[in-house]
This record gives sequence, C-alpha cells and structure tokens, in this order.
Amino acid sequence: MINNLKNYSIALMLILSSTSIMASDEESLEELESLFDVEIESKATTGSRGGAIDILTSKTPLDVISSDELRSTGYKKLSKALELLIPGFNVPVTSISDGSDHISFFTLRGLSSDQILVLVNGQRLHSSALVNVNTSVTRGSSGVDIDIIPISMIDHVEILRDGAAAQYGSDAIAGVVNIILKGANQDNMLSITSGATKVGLTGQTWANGTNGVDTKVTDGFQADIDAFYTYALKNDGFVNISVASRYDEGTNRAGKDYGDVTPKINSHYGDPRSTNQYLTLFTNINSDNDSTTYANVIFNYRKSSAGAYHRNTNAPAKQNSYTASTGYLPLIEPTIVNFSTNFGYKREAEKFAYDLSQVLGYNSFHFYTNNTINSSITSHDLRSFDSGELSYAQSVTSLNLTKRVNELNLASGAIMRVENYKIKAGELDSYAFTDTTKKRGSQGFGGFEPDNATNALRCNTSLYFDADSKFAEIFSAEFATRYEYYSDFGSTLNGKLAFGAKVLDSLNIRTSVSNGFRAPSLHQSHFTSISTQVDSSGNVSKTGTYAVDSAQAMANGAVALNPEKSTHATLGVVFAPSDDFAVTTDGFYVDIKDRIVLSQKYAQTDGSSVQYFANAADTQTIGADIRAEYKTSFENSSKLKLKLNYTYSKTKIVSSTINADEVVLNALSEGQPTNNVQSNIDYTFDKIGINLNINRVGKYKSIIDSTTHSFDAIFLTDLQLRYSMKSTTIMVGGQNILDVYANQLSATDSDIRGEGKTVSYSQYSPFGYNGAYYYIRAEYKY
Amino acid sequence: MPKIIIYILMFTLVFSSVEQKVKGMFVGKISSLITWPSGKSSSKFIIGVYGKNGISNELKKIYAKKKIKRKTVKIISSTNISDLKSSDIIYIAKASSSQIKEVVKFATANNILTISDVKGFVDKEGIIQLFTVSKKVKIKVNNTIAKKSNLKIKSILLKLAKDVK
Repeated sequence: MINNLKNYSIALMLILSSTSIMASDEESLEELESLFDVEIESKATTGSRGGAIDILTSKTPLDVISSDELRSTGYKKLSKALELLIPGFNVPVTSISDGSDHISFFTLRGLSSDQILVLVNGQRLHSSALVNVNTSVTRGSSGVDIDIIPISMIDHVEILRDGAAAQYGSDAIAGVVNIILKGANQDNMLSITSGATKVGLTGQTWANGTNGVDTKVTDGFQADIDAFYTYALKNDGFVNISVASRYDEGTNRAGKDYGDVTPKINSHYGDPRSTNQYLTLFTNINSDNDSTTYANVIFNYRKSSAGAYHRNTNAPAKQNSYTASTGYLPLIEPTIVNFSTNFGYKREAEKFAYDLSQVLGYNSFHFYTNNTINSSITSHDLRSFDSGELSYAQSVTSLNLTKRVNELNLASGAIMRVENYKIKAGELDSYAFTDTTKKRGSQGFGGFEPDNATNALRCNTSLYFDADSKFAEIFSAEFATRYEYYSDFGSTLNGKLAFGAKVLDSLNIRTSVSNGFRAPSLHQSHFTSISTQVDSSGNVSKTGTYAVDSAQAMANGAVALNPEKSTHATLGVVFAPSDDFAVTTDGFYVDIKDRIVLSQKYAQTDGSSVQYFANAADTQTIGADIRAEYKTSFENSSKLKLKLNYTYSKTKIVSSTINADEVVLNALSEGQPTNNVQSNIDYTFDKIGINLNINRVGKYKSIIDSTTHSFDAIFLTDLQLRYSMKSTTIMVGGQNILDVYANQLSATDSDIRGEGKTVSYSQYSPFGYNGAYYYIRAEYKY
Repeated sequence: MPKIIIYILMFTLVFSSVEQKVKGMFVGKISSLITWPSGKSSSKFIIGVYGKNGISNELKKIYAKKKIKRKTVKIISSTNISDLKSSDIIYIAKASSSQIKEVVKFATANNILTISDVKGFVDKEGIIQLFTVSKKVKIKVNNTIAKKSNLKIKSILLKLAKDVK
C-alpha cells in the first residue's frame, strides 16, 4: 500500500518557493526533473466500474502493488512476492502431497484458496484443474495459479479486500486480485537472476543420508531470464511481449525415515525441481475514433518433479524382483500447461462506453509418475507411467456498458461463462492390479482408472447493474446487484452497498455491506479418484474420493453441492494528516454458510472407504487490516519510504455436519496465521538503494495422525541492495537472510512424520522450510 | 511563509489529486522552455482549457499568484474553440478524436501550444502529451507540429521527453 501515499512535496515546494515561472535553463531543467520524479497517487479500477479511483478515497479497502515493489522483493514468483507485500496473503508450502507440491495456491484473510477471484485486466483468469485432496491447508479447494504470469509483464496488482460477488460473481469472498499487465510507453527490459539457498551455497551434510552414508548436499539453485519488449503503435497503442524461462533446482529438508531397515534420509521433502517457460503478450490497437481492439495471451509450460514417500525394502508388497533389495523413491513429475487469452473491442466516448470481450482459459495437469514400479504387474525395472490428466477450461463472453450522467456513473452488463472439467485415465499399467498380494498401480501416484474419467460441463449466465455517485462533494455511494444462473444448482441474487464520507479533509470513512456466493467448483462436484482393491480372497472393492452424484457417495449421505453463501461487512477509516503519512484501518466480518469441504472417510463393510465433497461447515471470520505509511525526501535528494502493516484474521467454525473431516475443519480455523505484521524500509540515495523487510508470521496449528501440532510465530528478514547505473541495475539480496526455520513437528509415534523424521516441518507452512536464500540480479532497461 | 500556512495547505490538499497538480505544474514549467512568435504577445499569459476534467480549477489554484513568462496568468475554460483564440496554450482536458482534430488544427493556425493527457495526443498532431507510467508523469513532444505552429522548443525539454516526433 506504499503506493497510496501522496508525495507531491516537491511540487508543493515549487509552488511555495516560486512566484514566477521564469528561470534559467538549468533551473528549469532541475525543476522539470523534480516534477518528473514526483510520485502520483495510486489508482485502481477494481471494485469500481466508473474508471480509475484513488485508493485512499475508495469506498472499499484496496491495495495497489507496483511492479517496482514486486521486483524489490527479489522473488520471481508473483505469489511469493505478494505474500511479502500484503499481510494476510498466505502462500502455504506443502510437500509429499501429490499434485499440490507443484502449484502455489494462495489464500487471503485466512480463507480458502478458491474464495478469491483472480482477474487479469479485469477479466476472470481460469482456475487450476487441480483440487487439493492431500495434506495441505487448502485441502478440498482448488485455486488460481498466478505464477503463470512473469513479473516483467505486470504493471501493478490491485487487491480488493472485500466481498465483491455482487460486482464480479462467484469466488469473490475473501477479495479480488486484479493483475494489470503493462500497457503503453514502457521500457524494454532484460533481467537475469541467479540464486541459491544457504544450503546450496555452503552445503549441508546429511548424517546417514542417501543410501545410509553421510552425504553432502547442495540445493535450492535458481536461474531466471526474463525479457520484456514493447513495440509502440499509433495513438499510444502497443504490442508488449514477455518471454521468460526459470529453473528451480528444488530443495530437500527431509529428516530420517524411521520405517526403513536402517533409519536414514531416503525421501524428498521440500520445494519441487521445476522448469517454467513463459510467453505473454498484450496488445492494444487504438483507432482514430476512440475505440480499442485489445488482446492478451498468457502461456506457461511447467515441468515439475517432487518425491512421494520412499518405498522401503521392508515393505515387500511395494517391491518387485528388481527393487526388492534397494527400495526406491517414486517421483511425481507432472507437466502443467496453462493458456489464457482475452480479446475484445471497446469504445470510450465522453459519456458512454462499451466493452465486448471474450476470454478463453485452459489448464492441463498431466500426471507422470517416474522412478517407480507397479509391483502388481510382471516384474520390470524402475520406469515411468502416464498416470492420467486433469484439465479445466473456461470460456467467458461479456458485454459491459457504462454511462456517465454528471456525477452518476451507471454500469450494466451480461456475461456467459462455460466451464469444462475433465479427468482422463492414465495408461493401463498405472492403475493395473494383477498380483493381488502386491500393491495396486504405479507406486507414489496410482493412475486414474477409467472409472474415474469425467467430462463435466456447466453453463453460467449473469446480469449485473451498478450505480455509483458522489453527493455534496464529500459523500459517495455505490449500489451493485448481480443475478446469476448456473446450469447445475440454479440461481443466486447478490447485492452490495458501499458508502464513503470525507468527514474532514484528512479523514475518510468508508463502509460496505454485501452478500455473495461461491459456486461449487466442477472439481468438487465431479472429482473422482477411486482405486480398485482386491483382498487375499479375491474380493474386489473400490476406495477413494467419489463424485457427489455417484451411488457410493449418495449411499453415504452425499447430496448435490450448493453454493457457499457469504455475508460481508467492512468499516474503515483513512487518516492522511499530511502528504507524506497515511494510516488506514479496516475492520471486516465475513460469514460463510455451507462451506464445501472434504467429508470424513466412511469405512465400508468390504474394507474400502468412501469420501466426497459436502456443504458441511458454517464459519465466521472477523479481522482488521491496518496500514501505515510514511515517506520523505532529504536535502541530499535521498528518499525514504517506511510502511508497517498488520492483519488480524480469525475464523471460527460456527457449525459443521457430521460428515465433515476433522483435519479439514481444523485447517479452516487453525491452519493459517491469525496475526501477521509486515514492515518495510526502502531508502534510495543517488545510485544506491536498500530495501529491508522484517515480517512476523503468526502461529498456526495442524492435526497430523490425530495429534495437534503447534507452530510458533517467527520473524523473517529480507534485504535487497541495489546499484543503478544509466540503464542497468544490479541487485543483490536475500530472503530470510537470518536463516530462520520454523519449529518442527512435535514428537510422534509415526515413522515418517514428526521431529527429525521425513516430514519434520509443517505441510501448512506459510513460508516453507528452506532457510536463507540469496540472489543476484541484473536488469537492463532501454 | 509561516509554517502553519504550509501545514494548512498540506492538510487541505491531502485528498485532492496529486496527478492533476503535477500536470498543472508541468504547464508552467514547459511554457518557460518554449518561445512563441514575436507577434503573439499580450499583457497576460492565457491558458485555455478545452473540455472538463478538473484541470481548470487546478490551474486556477496554481497560477492565481504565479506568473508565466513574467505575465500574470489567465485561465479560460470553454468548449467553443473560438473563445480560446487569444490563448498562448490550449490544454485539452477531455475531447473526442474529432474534437481534438479540430482544436489542434485551430491551434496550429494561431500559434498556440497544445497540451493534453488524452491518449495518442501527439499522434493526433497535438504538441505536448502528458502521460503516466510507473506512477510518474512523463511527456511526449511532437516537434514537427510545434515548428509548424512557429513555436520553438528548447532542446532541454526535448531531451527530457520520452518520445519526440
């Protein structure tokens, strides 16, 4: 929120110090350069259909994060950069959780990852095809993978911290993240980054490491190259292209596996090894008649690799003749493809504007399981399996109309969204179960069976109306309503009222009330992951997660999913006693009924179990966000910016049905930090810049193997030093430079989960378990 | 000026637009780097504002007691271009493409400097375009049209421009 300060002290100084604009060329040059250097107020378009608004006078709380701020974090992944800049923006890091290892879903205000609407240039970005069903704090939820967009392509990110379903439809419960791509008049840029964890730089010795011998490991190496090119067109049109490539070596912080014949480190627990290729394009073609034809394309191709649990030799059912004496570590190595495009035509006249657009989005999450065997089929050496594919596609067609009548801005529109969710079975060997004395399928991640294959389609149409006006110079009010029809569960009608009052020149009060909803995702309604089991007598059973409309799920209490329904209220005060200092405080209340969570596992008489998604919990979340910012310039032209952010967000379970899973319920209420504090200092003097973050991440809990584990709050320190020459900037920095680790799980009876064991750190960890990371970056602008 | 007055000014300006103030300040600073033809002279420096977006009030506040080129400043607002004929500068606050075309044609013929933050202004034969990138105000210059309007722009202004046509 550092952006929302109004630093025009230089301009003010010029106004006050000069009564005549008649100066020498040198003075004029100096004064003009000073004006060029004045930072103007942050404006945002999210939450208002009447054009860009000043975030300090907005009726609902907004943050705007600039590209400079994103780059100052040192992170190349957008989710991690935002986590450092937005309190309550949580990117939990899990491991040994199948597909969940490979995508960083994020949360806001302690709610779920699917309760945030993500937009790119105001249009909905598609969800991931993956739904978390293993151990992660967002278990039972999908989310949007925002790391498919390279930071070099981003102008700024707007975060609306309020319910906005009445304006944007489903998912906007915890808030809205609107990623604005770079537009006209940009500089070309080439950026090269390389870094490594402290372990990677100094090495770390694993006592009884791989294969039981002391092993020195290095990990966490990263390399990234990112190029942005802009080509100017007539009338401030442009073609912007970003091409980027990133390699992450991955990390490993696994402890010993006490279930092995000789306890030793034999698994992978940490960040996955991955490569990412990015191609992003954004163009505006502006005609002479005030119309714009626009298009953007976002493409990301990711190959990722993470381990499952080690298959030890003392578990013969998981071995064959080739592996019996050695064991093996299965690797889950998905190929993840994301493609999104948005193209349209808009025209902005003085009092009337329209925008017709089409969005297409697609994600494929194709599971490959490597370095593994299917012990139940004829013996074979370690090999690869195609374990099946999840895919999600959306098409969004929208027409938006706005009309301005004096101070009244009216907007209405119609949107049609079509979604498709598919599960494609893996190859036969990935799920085959031939020798029933062994284990079924490819070890590590058994393939989706043909019975799991799904092809679900849903259509959604919506109409909205929005009116926004100012009254008597100091008041502003907004009314929004939106009707939605979904082909699977029916209709919803939502509304929002927001009000702002400039009670003093330096004091703004804002409040809003609204209701909203989140449509059950197609993933939650149709995800099926059932494996065939055969006991020693040859009896066949099927166990796993069933679609809610399946006979097995319904026999155990499942009913068709309904939308989650939310009620929101916010009340905030903005106090800006000078142009260099501002404080905003916003309290919020979010009541959500019928939250969709994974059910408990219902034991069946044949030894199998049945699990499904259900509207099984009501929750209330209360909290407050406080932002304080100060900035100043010194006589030597150096500049100092300070900010201090605090977020409190506490969710409690109001009620739950008997079929809710206890671990999932605990994650909703205890799995994320309640109190977060962030502080940032940025100092620039001539060519030198220093950026320091000291953040406190609050405590949280998780239930593992029926034991509650508590994780203490910790402080993390990040530092970046910059040296800027004419066109080149060199940055050297570190994240978590004091090499702080969270406390490990408490002692357990488990062989693999607990202090010093394979899973020794929390799979809910908001900041991972890698220790310090250091990097160097060179940026060249021209 | 007593400090208390500075503080009062700072308090009262907090929730108003910094962007508009900076753009208003640019008008004066840019003017000091431009030479009008000798025949273009009056006792006051006149800034004509075409269209409405709040810049007119901002210019009036900024130049109430300030001079440009040693002259007191007069602000005229109108959507009738003939009212702006005596202007040294026409600031186009808001206008359609066809209106811009009309105004710049009129301004060129009458040796008037045109300034605007309208998208694509220099491509529409305006002379100075203000635009915002990374929260800072920058300028583009169409020096060809400036010359056609018999206006001489000092080289330091051209050097500071992001783009010069």
